[in-house]
Amino acid sequence: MIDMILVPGSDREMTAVTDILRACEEEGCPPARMDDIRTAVREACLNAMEHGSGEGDPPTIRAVVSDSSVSVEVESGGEEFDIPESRPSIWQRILGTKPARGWGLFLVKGLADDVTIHHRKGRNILRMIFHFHQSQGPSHGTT
Amino acid sequence: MAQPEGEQTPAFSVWAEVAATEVIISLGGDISSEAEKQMTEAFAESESNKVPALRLRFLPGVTMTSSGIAVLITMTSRARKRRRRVVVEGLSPHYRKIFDMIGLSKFVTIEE
Repeated sequence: MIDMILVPGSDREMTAVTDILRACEEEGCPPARMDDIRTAVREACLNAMEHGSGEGDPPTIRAVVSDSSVSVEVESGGEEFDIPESRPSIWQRILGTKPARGWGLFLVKGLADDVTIHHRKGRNILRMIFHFHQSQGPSHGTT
Repeated sequence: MAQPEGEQTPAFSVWAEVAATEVIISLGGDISSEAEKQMTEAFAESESNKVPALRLRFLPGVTMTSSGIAVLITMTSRARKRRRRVVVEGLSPHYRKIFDMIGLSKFVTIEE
C-alpha cells in the first residue's frame, strides 16, 4: 500500500506517481497502461493540491496495487467537485470564449476504468481503478 | 516513455526557429503550468513572422499535464486567428489518444 501526504507547492505528486508506477510495473502492468495511470493520477493529485488544500489539511493519496489492477484514492478538502458529465467544449476554447484550462478531471474520467467521487465530512474522495488489461468499458459515479 | 525508474519530471525546454514556410517550436521535458511563461514567450516571438504554418515538434519523452495542454490549445487558437495552419509532430501514442479525447486533433494536423 502506498500512502502519502501531498504537499501543495511541491512535486510530491510525482513522487507518489513514481511509487505507484513502480509497483504496477512489478505486477506486469503494460507500458501503455502505465502512461494512462501516470497522466490520470497526476491530474487527480494536481487538482487536489490546487483546489483542495486548507491550512493544516493537506490532500492525501492512497494506492493499493494487485496483480491485475491498481486502486488509487485522492482525498482533499475544499469545494465539492464532481466528475464532468460530458467533454468540455474544445470549440469554445479554440474560439477563446472560455478559458483553455479545465481538462484534468475529464482526463481522469477518460483514462481510468472506474471513477467515483464521495463527499464525506467536507472532504472529496476521488477513487480511480485501473485494470492492467482492459476488457470492460469505463464506469463512473458520484455519491 | 512508460518506465517508472528514476521518474521525475524532466526539465522543460522550448525553442523556436523560422523555416521557409513555417515557424517550428520544439518542446521537450515536462509541459505543465510551469512551462506556460516560456511557451507563451516563444510563441509570441514567432508571431511576428508571417509564415503560414506553426509546427509544434514534441521531442521524445515529453510529458504533459492538463495545464500544459491548455497552453497548447491557446497557441492553436491564436495561430488559427492568424490563419496559420498548426502541424503537430512527434506525439507519442498516449498523447495522440489524449488529443483525440479532448478534440484538439480536429484543429491540428498530426504528423508521425
